[in-house]
Amino acid sequence: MDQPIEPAPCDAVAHLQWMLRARLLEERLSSLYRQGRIPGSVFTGRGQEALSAAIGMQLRPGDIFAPLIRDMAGRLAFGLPAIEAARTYLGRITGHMRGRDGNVHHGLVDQGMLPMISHLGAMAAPCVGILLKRKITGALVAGDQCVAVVCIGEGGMQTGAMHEAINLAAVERLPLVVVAANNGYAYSTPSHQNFVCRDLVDRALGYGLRGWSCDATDCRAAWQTVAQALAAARSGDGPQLISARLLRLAGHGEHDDAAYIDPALKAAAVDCLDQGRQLVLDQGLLDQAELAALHTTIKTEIDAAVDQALGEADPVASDESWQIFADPILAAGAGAQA
Amino acid sequence: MSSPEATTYLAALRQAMAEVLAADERVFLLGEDVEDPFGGAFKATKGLSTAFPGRVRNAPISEDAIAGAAVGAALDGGRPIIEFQFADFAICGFNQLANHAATTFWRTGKPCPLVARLPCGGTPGGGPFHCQMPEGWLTAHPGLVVVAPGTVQDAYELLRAAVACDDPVIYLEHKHLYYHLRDPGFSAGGPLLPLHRAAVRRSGRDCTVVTYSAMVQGALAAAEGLALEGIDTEVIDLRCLKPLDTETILESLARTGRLVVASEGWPYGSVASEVITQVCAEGFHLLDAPPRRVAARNTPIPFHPALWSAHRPDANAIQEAVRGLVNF
Amino acid sequence: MPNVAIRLPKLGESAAEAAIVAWLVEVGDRVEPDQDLLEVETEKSVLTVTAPAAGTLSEQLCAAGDRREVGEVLGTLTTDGDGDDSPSDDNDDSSADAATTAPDPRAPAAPASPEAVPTAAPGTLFPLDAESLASVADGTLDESPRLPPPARAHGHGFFSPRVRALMDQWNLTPADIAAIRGTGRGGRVSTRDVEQFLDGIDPATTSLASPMRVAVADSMRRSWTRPVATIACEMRMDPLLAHRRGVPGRPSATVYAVRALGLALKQDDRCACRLVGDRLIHPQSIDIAFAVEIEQGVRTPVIRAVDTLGLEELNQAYDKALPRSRGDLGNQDDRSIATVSNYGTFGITWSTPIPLPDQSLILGLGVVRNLPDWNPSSHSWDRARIAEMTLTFDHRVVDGGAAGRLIMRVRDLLHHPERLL
Repeated sequence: MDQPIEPAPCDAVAHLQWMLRARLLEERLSSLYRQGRIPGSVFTGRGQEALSAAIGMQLRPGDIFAPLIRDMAGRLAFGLPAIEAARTYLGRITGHMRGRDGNVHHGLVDQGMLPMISHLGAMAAPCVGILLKRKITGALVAGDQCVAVVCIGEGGMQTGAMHEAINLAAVERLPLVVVAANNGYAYSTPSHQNFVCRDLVDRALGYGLRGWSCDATDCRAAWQTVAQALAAARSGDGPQLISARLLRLAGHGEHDDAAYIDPALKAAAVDCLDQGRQLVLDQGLLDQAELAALHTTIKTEIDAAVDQALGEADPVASDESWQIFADPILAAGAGAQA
Repeated sequence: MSSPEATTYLAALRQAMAEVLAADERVFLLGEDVEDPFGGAFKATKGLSTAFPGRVRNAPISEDAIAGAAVGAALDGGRPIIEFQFADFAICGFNQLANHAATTFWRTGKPCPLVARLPCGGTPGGGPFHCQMPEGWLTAHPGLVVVAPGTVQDAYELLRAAVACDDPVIYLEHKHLYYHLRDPGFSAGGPLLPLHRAAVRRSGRDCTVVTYSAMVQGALAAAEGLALEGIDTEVIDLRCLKPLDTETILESLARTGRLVVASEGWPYGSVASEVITQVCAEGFHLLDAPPRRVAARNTPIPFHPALWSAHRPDANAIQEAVRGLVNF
Repeated sequence: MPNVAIRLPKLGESAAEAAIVAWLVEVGDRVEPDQDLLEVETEKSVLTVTAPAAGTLSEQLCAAGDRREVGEVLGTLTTDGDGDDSPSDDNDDSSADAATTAPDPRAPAAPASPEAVPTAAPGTLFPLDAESLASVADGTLDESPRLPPPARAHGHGFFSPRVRALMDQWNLTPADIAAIRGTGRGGRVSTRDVEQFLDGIDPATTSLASPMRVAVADSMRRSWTRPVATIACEMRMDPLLAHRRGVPGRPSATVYAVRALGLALKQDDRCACRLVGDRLIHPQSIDIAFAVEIEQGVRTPVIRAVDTLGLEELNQAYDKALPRSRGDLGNQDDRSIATVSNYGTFGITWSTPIPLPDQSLILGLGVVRNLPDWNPSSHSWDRARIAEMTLTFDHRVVDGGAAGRLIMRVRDLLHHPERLL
């Protein structure tokens, strides 16, 4: 089906708010990292918030979301409380992962947000599996299917895992939406050393699925592209592939100064957050004072969440159960010794 | 040889799958070539896609995606069974098994109940890539349960128990046993048995042979031969390779004082080495002789049947090891 | 015109048997190499069995619907030629034979013929005949001559962890089970040997050893781990016996011997050293013990710094050190460097007492006897009171010469008791 899909209305202010929440939260976390208060590192989605928030905001209860490292905006918009992100980065016992896993490896399984593992491409197949299971059990409602969105970068798109999962989704014609954020660099490796096709969207043809391409530094383009791909997937059009062009405005993590990024690219870079601010001003949705007030409100809200997490307890090794098995029989019996 | 009417290992396994598919709508089966009319490379799923339309599905040759799909389905409340065509190929899905399925409950507190069926073990002519025993690398990863039925009844019982288990279970089914092992006394429909208990297949006083999968039959054959020499061998079938039923092993050693661990797998970093380590740590005072490991040679599995036979341990090798310990 | 058996080949990874679908060739028909002969159906698929060589089908040994196991003969093919270059029919499934079967030069596909492909015997993946199976236990393939299992170098043979645990359970030492003639390899004592030994003890014939008995037993067992040697000499006792009459308290011969040994060791303490590893531990004080029999055992009270005490003081210290009661075990931690044992009080001429575990020496005095003693000046036999004196020593520390010089020095002092004052 190649009929054009009706663009979705976009609440530019709400979109901007989620972008801003992610940006301010990650800036605060980055600062904590630089104070030595966060183990490991901090990975930000600076420059990718428009795309990510557009995904999180447009998913519905029952949908599946497999965010990647640069999807703080999408996670928050999907329903992750900011404090949970802070708890996970800090490794607090109060967080979902209880200090057992950290930084970006967390999710809300019961709400459909999968906790990513580090292996790029590995989250796509579980999304396919969920959709396949729902298809088998008759839970996919014809014409208005739940969808699964899996986020990946142009680096992760080169994995065999990604290929296998996309192809399986295509074979089973499942409502999977692959969002490939081509941010120019896979860690330090520029795109031309990762792939040589004109645009990753060209791969859609090879898999027999529908492809979408956009400039994701443009808030409206990001929103509309996600909207259309989701609508196509829900309608029964099978898997969708979005190729989103943007630039990572940060290092791979906060330990990385990104000195390898081409200065010309940096100079020409558009920050989607600036673009989003300008958009609401241009549309007369907010004035400068309101924009500043919005910033202050969100900053206060984020700081409160992070401060609360900072005051919470670390895990205590002597309290850890080290229980590896979920099964009650195994947990009660041989679990500990295994 | 037992009567042709006796149930084969493969039929018992198939029956267990049919029962869980019928009893539990959360169960579905995904794998390569599993649908009728083909019904699986070894016919394990023959008839199931016909009996359960849509719930037994062919997948592309994508081991990683098959395993990853099972992880997702399990997290969404399903009870997926996946079939790897050969255990050797499960390595291509290892990332999803070891890094995803195995870590999920620990990390998130959310169970990840899936069953991965791996046709394993040697048959003559199979060569380096169709005969492997994968338990060494699979048991190394915390969070996976690994079972290896060595009897027809267990092919049935352990699959049912695996589907009922809330953790990811690796089910190692031995290809040689599929058609060669028959049990006229097989019975279905009994109560669900514990997954993680070892079984004493033969009682003895002189030496304990701990083993699993097809080597259970090898150990029983070895024990019969040794009995003619006056050596009374106890055979323990681990059934579950992780977690290990160390208790049953130590109880047996309390009777015999000597331990041989026999497996078709490679020796290094193996289930055998783990059993011996645990026995030395917890049951040193029970030992009359140093524990002995009988394992495959430390090379890839050879193609030619003459080399293949010499590569893998057999009843004779088990007998040699037992004699060595009894005469230690 | 040899006959070649058409066998059911192993058609798949796991196949054990197959059903015959149909013969495609009748008896008497000519067949070419690789021609389809019959169709069989395994659990996995329908496949054809082909001719290994050119010839005539001479026999069909199965019919449609029959089931056959892998390796069973399905029919017979009478091949062309004199047989030298035809596939042999005496294939016994032995891999070694199959591996050396020469391919038929006229049949390019010969290696694919059922005869040429070796298979493990059907349904017997675990055969018991030793010939066809190599021992692959644990990578140690060559079980040819090797050194015997290690025995412990320190005094006793190898006991398995299980035998040791059993001994611990029953508080047994290797000495306790020395009576067992081990049935294990090289005479090792097995768990079953120990169990049978214990089973063979009738409780009605036993009594509980006293704590003193157990303590002495333990001490002697530890002592006995060392190589000890004994030397002896005769000694005239007349000077000593005459001398003691003039000393207040009339010290016993034991007191004289303690004093004489103390002075001798003061002069040269090397004989009283203890050996630990490669270090000799020298005595820091001439503390000497003497053996006293008490109820059900022996005690060894210690007299400190005997080199600093005159005979009279020494005698007082001796009296003070004597056990106060029958159950008086004394201070068992008292250290001393040598012991004097006056076993002559039991009428014994000589003995080889064992040094205490933390000592290297024990001096023994035998019974005093009236013996004729040749007097060279009067050319007559005098009556003399003579006793044997023994010195038992840890041969790791002391050699015969040093021990001999020490005992001679002691005898010299006892022959001249005035030097002991």
